[in-house]
Amino acid sequence: MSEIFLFILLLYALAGIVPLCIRKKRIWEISSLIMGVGGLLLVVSCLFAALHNYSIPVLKISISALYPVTLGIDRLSAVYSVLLGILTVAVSMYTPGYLDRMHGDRRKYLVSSLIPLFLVSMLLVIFSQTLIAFLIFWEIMAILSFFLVLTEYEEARTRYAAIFYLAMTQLSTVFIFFGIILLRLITGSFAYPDKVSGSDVLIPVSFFCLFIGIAIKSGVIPFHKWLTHAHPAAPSPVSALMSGMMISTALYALVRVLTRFYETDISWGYVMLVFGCLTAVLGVMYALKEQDLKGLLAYSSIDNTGVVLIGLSLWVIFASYGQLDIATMALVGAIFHSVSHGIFKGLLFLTAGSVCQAAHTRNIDELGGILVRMPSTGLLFFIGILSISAIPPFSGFIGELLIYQALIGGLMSLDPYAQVVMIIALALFGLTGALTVTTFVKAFGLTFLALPRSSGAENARETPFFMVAGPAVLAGMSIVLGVCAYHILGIFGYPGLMPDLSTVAVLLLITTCLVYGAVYAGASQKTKISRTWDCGMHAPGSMNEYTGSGFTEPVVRFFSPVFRTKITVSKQYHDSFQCLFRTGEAGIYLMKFFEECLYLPVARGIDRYAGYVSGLQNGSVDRYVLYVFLMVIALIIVLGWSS
Amino acid sequence: MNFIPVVYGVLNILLVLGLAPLYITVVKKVKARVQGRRGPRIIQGYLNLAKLFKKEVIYSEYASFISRLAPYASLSILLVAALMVPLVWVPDLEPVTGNIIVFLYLLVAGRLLLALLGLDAASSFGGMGSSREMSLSAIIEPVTVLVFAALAFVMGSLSIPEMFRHAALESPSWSPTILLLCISLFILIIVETGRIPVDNPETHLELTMVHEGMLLDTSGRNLALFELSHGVKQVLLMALLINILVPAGLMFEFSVPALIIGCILFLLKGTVLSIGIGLFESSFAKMRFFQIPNLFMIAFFFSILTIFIEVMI
Repeated sequence: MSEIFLFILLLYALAGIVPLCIRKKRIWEISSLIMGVGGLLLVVSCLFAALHNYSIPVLKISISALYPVTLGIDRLSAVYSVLLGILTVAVSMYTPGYLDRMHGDRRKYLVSSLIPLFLVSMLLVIFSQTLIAFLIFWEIMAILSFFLVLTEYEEARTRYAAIFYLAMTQLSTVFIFFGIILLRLITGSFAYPDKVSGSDVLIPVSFFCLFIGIAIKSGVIPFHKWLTHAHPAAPSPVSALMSGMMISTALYALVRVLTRFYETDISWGYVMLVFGCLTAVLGVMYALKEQDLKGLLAYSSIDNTGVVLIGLSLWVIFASYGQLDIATMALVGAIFHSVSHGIFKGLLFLTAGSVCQAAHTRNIDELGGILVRMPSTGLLFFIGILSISAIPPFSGFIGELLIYQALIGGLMSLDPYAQVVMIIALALFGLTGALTVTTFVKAFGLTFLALPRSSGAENARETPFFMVAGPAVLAGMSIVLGVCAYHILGIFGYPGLMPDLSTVAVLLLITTCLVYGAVYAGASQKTKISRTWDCGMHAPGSMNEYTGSGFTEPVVRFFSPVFRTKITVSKQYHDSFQCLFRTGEAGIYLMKFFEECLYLPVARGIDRYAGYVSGLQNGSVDRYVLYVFLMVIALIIVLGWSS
Repeated sequence: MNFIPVVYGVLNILLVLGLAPLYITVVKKVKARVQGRRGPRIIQGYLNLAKLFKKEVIYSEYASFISRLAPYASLSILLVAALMVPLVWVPDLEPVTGNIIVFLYLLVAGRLLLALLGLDAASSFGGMGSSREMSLSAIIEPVTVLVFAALAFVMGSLSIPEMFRHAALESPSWSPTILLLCISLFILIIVETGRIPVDNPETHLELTMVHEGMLLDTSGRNLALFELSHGVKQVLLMALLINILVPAGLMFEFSVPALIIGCILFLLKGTVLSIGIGLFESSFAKMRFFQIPNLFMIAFFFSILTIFIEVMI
């Protein structure tokens, strides 16, 4: 059994190496084919492993006895590997078409070789069974994704995004590294620890180091800022993978850490709940305001991370109250939501990528009318928004339903203080759901419906077959996951956690047919295509339509305390008494709170510090000799002191 | 094969569909009377629908499949939701899950389709309507969730039929918590069905329209389907309130006389509630759009108060 996993790893590696070695035209099609086969095998074998609850050691290598690298698979990693496999299949179908339309030949070879390598690094993170292996593959994943973000390096925005991402991801690695070192100190080995507990102060410190490392990677507010720079800048298949899979990988790590490494403490749960609520609500609010289609999706990934985090924190809280039924419900909800988020966010990013490539713009205000021009892509995007808006019976609904049930269940069974917390969390969760629907009505309605608002959107054409087929796989999966969720959870040994939605699906189909039949039989079938309502204007154009910013204006007004605006006025005068006005500028901006109040001050501080330090290293040899001399004296003093 | 769920489903849907136009007309009638007019005939709702079904449909030349799909999908989503809210008969075997969160998200699904429809025909009125609808939904949703959570908390179950059963078995159902909940539910009905302080379904004025704005471009059978689903939504939310506040007449074992009595009682209770809605509407002026959150805060406050009272006692 373990051979097949080795074979899959080899296939991925091969797919990565082929385009590097053979510079033939369209070699990326062969590479994608190999990758797709690998993905398919992965799905089949991991489904098998997950269903039979196997724990299979895949591979054991030791760099030295001190640093054991062991790979293995159990049910949790199998579930996430299935997600990775499904995304691999979709992306491998989609990528060749996308690359064909990209410019720059060398870049295409690089991208097509980096994608499978990036995938395999994430797979290895999931397969890791020792802390050191986890750290190594985590870092490889970070570096590879950095290069992928940098694909379109000519644009200044992309370079900025990539550097931003690099800084953040290295910060994440630093925290993970500390966490792992501390765990090594506590347990004395690099093996995955089992339920560490005790009053040692290092235990919570190590947990929060790991948590912050993972939080940065999965875009928890306030560490989220890189996502919204990096995801729009990267090519669409890459953003689909980063948003769909890399976030899920980080969340997988969090689930693993919480369920296996530690005997969790209730206060950790509350801290995570605060982070989760903040991330969910603010993430979706920023998404609502965003005019960049891919940026909007990136913000909504942040929101979904928050939802998963809420689920996980509920698990911690309820588990420490001993409410194991509700705790399981929350945990299953969180895992289900992170997997289904991977699928529908992959779908949304891929289809959005097609649209942006066809219309040559990512700005929602310049799109519109795409549905008539790209009907299949539009339909797939529609399925994506139904799923992400948690419409039953699509897959996005299941996780939210489970978390809702857990929250309301918690309301009924906890002590009063915890109940107050649950009420607040419930209200914020409801707010998140509603704002998500609003966001995606905006994203779909203004991008795909009505009239095109730019010549690019006007001339958009449907993408080739495989660029539709790739996302279609994901759309199908998201329907299947939603409709069969009850049965899937039953197979995995969690029956009865949620109502059976397949009956809802069947009934929806039946009633739609009945309603259609009844109307067809009883009503007039006369239909005319004409102008419906043009407000007395002769030629209504796209200028009359609502734009994205207009659409969200009322919500922004309702939540004005959150969306802080900044008014800037700069005036110049002819005279020193400021009487004769010469020229000036004024503007109203939406304040980027975290960027302006958190990131930039820190960055400036580091910059200033670096300025001082760099003064020490000025290239003159005698200065360096002085440093050595001072060092030697210091050593003599210290050593003399201690002896 | 057990036929009880099927019989229940058909009965419930027919009842909901039958009552939907009636209650809308009753509200209109009451408002007209208060203003000193005679108002429409009681059967006017049915006549309107019949007329609309006979007219031709005009699609905008820019319209996509959303305009063609939304009317049918919107009604059928609400009919599935109707299966979850038993009007007069609470059967042992539900044909479909009665989970209140599924119910809530089915309503959301209907709203999503309607908002997309508003954007589909490329007119600025539609865009305005759907923008406002989604903005309102963004603030009413947390309230709805809390009201439903409070309901689930008080009734001890997430399932709507179970709630009704609980309400019917609890002999004095007029506990303070229930009354508070009903105030919140009443505000929910007002908001969800677009009634006056929030929205005015009768006018096509730019200032007031939310719901009508989205429907401005629909006509003929499509408009009829939307009117009907609007009515169905109203009946469902009213039933939720009625069957919790005054569960008298609810039938648990099937029998024909009990069914008839139940139907008549529900008809009466619903009419009374519709008159109440009409009077409420007449005594208020349309609120300024950006003031509406204040109204929601009342519902929000009452539902939190409900939970606190239940927790403390």
